[in-house]
Amino acid sequence: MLLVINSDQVITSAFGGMFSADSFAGFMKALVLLGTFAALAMSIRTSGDDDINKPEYSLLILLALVGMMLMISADNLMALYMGVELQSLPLYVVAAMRTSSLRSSEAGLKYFLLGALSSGLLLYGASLVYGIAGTTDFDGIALALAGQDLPPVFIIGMVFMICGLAFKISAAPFHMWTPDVYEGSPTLVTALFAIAPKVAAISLLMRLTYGAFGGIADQWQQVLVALSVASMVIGALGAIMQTDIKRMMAYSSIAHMGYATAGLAAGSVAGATGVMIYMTGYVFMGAGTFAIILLMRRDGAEATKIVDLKGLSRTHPALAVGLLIMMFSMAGIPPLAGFFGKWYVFLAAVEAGLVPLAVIGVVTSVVGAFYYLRIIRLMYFDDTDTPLDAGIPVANRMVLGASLAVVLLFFAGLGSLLGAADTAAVALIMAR
Amino acid sequence: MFVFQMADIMPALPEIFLAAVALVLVLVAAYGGETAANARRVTQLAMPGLSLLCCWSSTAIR
Repeated sequence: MLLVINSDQVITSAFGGMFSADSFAGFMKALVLLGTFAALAMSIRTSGDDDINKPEYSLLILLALVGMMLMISADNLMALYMGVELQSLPLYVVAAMRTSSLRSSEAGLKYFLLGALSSGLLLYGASLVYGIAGTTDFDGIALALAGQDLPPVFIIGMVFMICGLAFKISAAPFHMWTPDVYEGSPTLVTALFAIAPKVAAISLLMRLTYGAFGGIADQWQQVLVALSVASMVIGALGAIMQTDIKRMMAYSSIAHMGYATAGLAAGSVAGATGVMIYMTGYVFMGAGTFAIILLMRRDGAEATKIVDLKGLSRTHPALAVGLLIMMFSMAGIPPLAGFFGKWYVFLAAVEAGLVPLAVIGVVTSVVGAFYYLRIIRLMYFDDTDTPLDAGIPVANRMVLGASLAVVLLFFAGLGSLLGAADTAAVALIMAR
Repeated sequence: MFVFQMADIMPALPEIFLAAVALVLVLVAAYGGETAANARRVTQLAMPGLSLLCCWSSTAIR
């Protein structure tokens, strides 16, 4: 990742304090941009999915990206809501972009309806918070809450806001849209959903909890612990039963958000640093895995059943090795990126006294290893008579190569990454 | 009364730049036709913008 050092005299606040461009925003925006770049690059192909080969596809992604960047920088309830809506509306459209497919239309409609519900929750919560704090500014809300007895209405508003954002990161029990949307959407869109919007939404959740509600961590910590446990358990157990790799990745992402939320629940600088390390690994693991899933085609048609991976090590040995490394990393096997992400979030949870949460995290990681290893077994120990189509587009090759390099060599750059994440976490928390 | 100051929008320039790129590409998409070749063109034009933004946003990392 490109790191450019600026002078100290940098203005980091815009639009009258509604928008923050601190080092936390820079870190998370770089991740979102890399994820979106990878997803867009893989959409450039000379033939194939005609439903996606439309000019408006890239435009909608760019507009969603503006929303994601605004979400990451939001320092005010108004900017928060604008960012969420600007991100969500184009994504509802791209989810339903395959107009010839009922499943894609269903995915778009489900995403829209549940997204609208979550936006309503978020907006209602924001109005309650504004009603008590008397300001929409995050700093102002934190100031208004300092040393005061919190009225129950405020707590309700805060919980509503956190639940609204939990929908966006697909944390359980607000995850129900995820498997259907992942499965029904065109795979290119699923690849984007699995990477960029999650980073933006968790950044916003971090800004809200560490910023506006930073002084009342004891109030939101239990909500995040509950979300984390539910996501880790439902994600790990749900993925075992799946036969479609896109649905499996959906449950896998639910579990991943549970691990990230465990770091967030710690409510400390170490927790924020852990989440940033985790999300860095998550972006590259997601991009690399979907670069391979996108190649799962037979006679030109998508073949996304897990059994379609049978014998991949014999028909496509390079892809099999790539997927093996990604699956090992997602399972948290050292010294790959996924291991360090989990290490830092669980370490932060333990330091914050949330030992049971860390234990549940470790146990669900072991359960999660089952469905990742099942894919490896199918690739290496089973045979197939009907191999997947040959040929790897240049874009997929480059995304996979870059992702593999980062996942494999994560430990080599961990020192710099930790330093950058730590500075960003301090900017997020201590600037208040 | 609101007073416009350039310094108040400077930190959001990457977002403003991205929105401007998207708006320019709307024209490319609209006048290039509903073809796969035009879709590729729009995406290929968006990629340098995204690369530039990635570098630009990274300048905030210390």
